[in-house]
Amino acid sequence: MVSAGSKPGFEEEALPHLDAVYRFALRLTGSNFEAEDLVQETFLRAYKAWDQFTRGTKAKSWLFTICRNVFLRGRERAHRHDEIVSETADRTGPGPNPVNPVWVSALGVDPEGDFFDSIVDVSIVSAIEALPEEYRTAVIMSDVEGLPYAEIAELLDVPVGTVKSRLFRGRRRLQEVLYEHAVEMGYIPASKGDEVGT
Amino acid sequence: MTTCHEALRLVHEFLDGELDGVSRAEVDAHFEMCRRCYPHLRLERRFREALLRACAGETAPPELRARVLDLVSGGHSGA
Repeated sequence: MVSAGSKPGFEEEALPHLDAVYRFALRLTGSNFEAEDLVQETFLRAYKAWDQFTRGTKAKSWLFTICRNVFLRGRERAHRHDEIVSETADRTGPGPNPVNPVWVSALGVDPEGDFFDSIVDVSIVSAIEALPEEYRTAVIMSDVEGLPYAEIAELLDVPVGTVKSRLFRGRRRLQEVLYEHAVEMGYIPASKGDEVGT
Repeated sequence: MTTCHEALRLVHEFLDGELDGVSRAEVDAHFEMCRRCYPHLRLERRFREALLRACAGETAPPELRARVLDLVSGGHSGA
């Protein structure tokens, strides 16, 4: 199934991103086994298509794109559906009020945000994995992998404005979930909070 | 002069390094001076640190690395 022989540059340019692709696959699938299969398929496809890849150009984003496409196609085949994010909602932008109500509440009880240190990694990962795929991918690409907006836009095949919107909504949703989790676990007391002015 | 509204609206682009030099300096100056907005920036940073802590340290298992290496170097063995 796999042709023999190695392709020049693949090991140097693509393989260093194996951990990053694995992390992304983990967040997409939520399962170690599925993530490993997804990573294998991603690298196999990348290897086969390596001759079409322009060397020295964003190999990491290219691998993420392949990984996501393989994942989405597999999901379609399995007739499993995440929450569908409305593109109309995406285009409406972050909204008129930039004050984050979660932070307003948090500032009343834990202004340093120390509650984040109490939240165990597995809870944070669960919260990320519960996000709709469009938000999840944007947040991982930006906050974990550090890709610029333009690269994320290319990867998702959407305008930069949509990336910003998805990041805004995905982060806000995660912040709400993590804050509520911290309150439920007793890391911080519940707070009514009130809005700051400007 | 950056207002509180403007600084908070741009907080993500500021932290993501997506603002140009002038805007970045103005937003940075606002957060340094404003006692109402700076705590929001601090919480946003703590949030991002928590995400990184939870996710960025994960690495591919050695067996997977070996399988991928095998896959792309001509398939020494069937896994």
